[in-house]
Amino acid sequence: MPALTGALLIEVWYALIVFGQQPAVILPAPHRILMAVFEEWDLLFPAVCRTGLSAVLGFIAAVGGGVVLAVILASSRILKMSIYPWVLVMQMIPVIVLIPIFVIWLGEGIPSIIAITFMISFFPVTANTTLGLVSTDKELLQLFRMWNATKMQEILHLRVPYALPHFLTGVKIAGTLAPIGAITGDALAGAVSTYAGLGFLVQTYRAQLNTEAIFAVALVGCILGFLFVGTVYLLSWYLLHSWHESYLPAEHSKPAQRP
Amino acid sequence: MIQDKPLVSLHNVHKYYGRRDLVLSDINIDVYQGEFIGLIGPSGCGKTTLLKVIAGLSPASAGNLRIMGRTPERARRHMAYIFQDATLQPWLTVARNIQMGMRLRGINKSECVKTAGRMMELVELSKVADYHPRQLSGGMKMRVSIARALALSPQIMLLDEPFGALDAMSRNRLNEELLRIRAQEAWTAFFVTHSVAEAVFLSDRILIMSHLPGHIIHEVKVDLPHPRTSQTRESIEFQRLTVDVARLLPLRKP
Repeated sequence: MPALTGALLIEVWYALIVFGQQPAVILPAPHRILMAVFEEWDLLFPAVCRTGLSAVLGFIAAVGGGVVLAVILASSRILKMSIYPWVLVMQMIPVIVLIPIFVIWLGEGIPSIIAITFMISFFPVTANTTLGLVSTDKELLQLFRMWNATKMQEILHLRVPYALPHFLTGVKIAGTLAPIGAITGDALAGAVSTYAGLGFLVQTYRAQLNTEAIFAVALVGCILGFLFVGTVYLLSWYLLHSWHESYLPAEHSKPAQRP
Repeated sequence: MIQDKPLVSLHNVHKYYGRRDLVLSDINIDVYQGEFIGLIGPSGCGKTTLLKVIAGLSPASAGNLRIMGRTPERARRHMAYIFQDATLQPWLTVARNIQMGMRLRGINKSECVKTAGRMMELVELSKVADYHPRQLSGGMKMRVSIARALALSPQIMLLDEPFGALDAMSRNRLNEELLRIRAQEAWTAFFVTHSVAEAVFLSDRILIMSHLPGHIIHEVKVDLPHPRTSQTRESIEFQRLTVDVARLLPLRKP
């Protein structure tokens, strides 16, 4: 189905070029974009590697920081009431405003790009993991009390696995946001010739009015995003497929008969 | 079976939720080793609260409560609680679910595996040892829950409407299985139910509770012979007891 809709979109694209008489500088044809990818490969490949590295590092920071913050928020209602509104406030500040601040603090280049990626992607991890940690089944908690489980046993054997699907939902959202954050960071805080990522490259092509190359960057950026999200979805499948309802196919969801 | 010293003893036990809401009022019960106690009463009369007070999951507000001569918190090691829902850990297999309580209590792995295997045989679930709870029917999940409780060799079983969500056929079958298992394990039981027939079939003694605030208003001794089977339900004595208990239930609250 997605291949069919993709093919249909390309047909519409070509129709717009032919019947709408759009010049290549406004709307380049799909085959010209593919050709631009090969022509610009020497610049695109190092750029996508740099952006990918920034996205991975920012994503790891977002997941790590998001989980630590979630554990703090879930550990006490008073802490949650005191800290959570400020976490929301941080999310309300537009990234475009934060970028100059990061550049002043951390300088242009990878540290600022990682900080921007972190800012864009940590919140879904924090919000979802907090929800998972505080919504542990009350009867299971009572069962653990009946077993005289220690606090650490309760966290390791109950709260963490119970929060896992919520955590992975947050990680999936962060996975879609991290490449976007890294490209935005490249464009606005990565203006260093020695560290030119996809965002920096797109700024250069814009200055040259090289529309085909801009579309080529968009295509490579999409592929990077898909690789990122695909890896996160694979991890989620690996951890949940054997037991979580969302991964069980319909024919296996039928309960077993009495043996 | 009946001994001089009660295993569970509650005297003048009261339970408040908050400062004003009295849930349990002046509960006095002595239960002896090996007894199967059925707790029956109107919805919301405090049956589950009473069970949680005995388990030490919800402290009594007043009164004297001793379980095997100790406070409920100190006696918890000798008790097992079965909830209305099977309360399984969905990420663990049937075998690992049964082992979990033992593992947390520090029993070594090989002993846990051995005991869990024996419990699965007891509840006839050996064939689904590697299944996850999602793949089991409601009745099977409840048998896993029972096996998990039994694996800890409890002296007291607290069962909170464990078969309430099941259809009549599954419920009757599990009632018979529960008595079959108990004949081998001989624990003392508190069984909360809304079904008069279930209470009569399982219990040695039935305690009938009033509307909120709950207190014990009647006590009925059940002298039906063991082993009890589906034929027991057809006996005149069973029918008579069921009618007697139903008549003793408090009328709808005005």
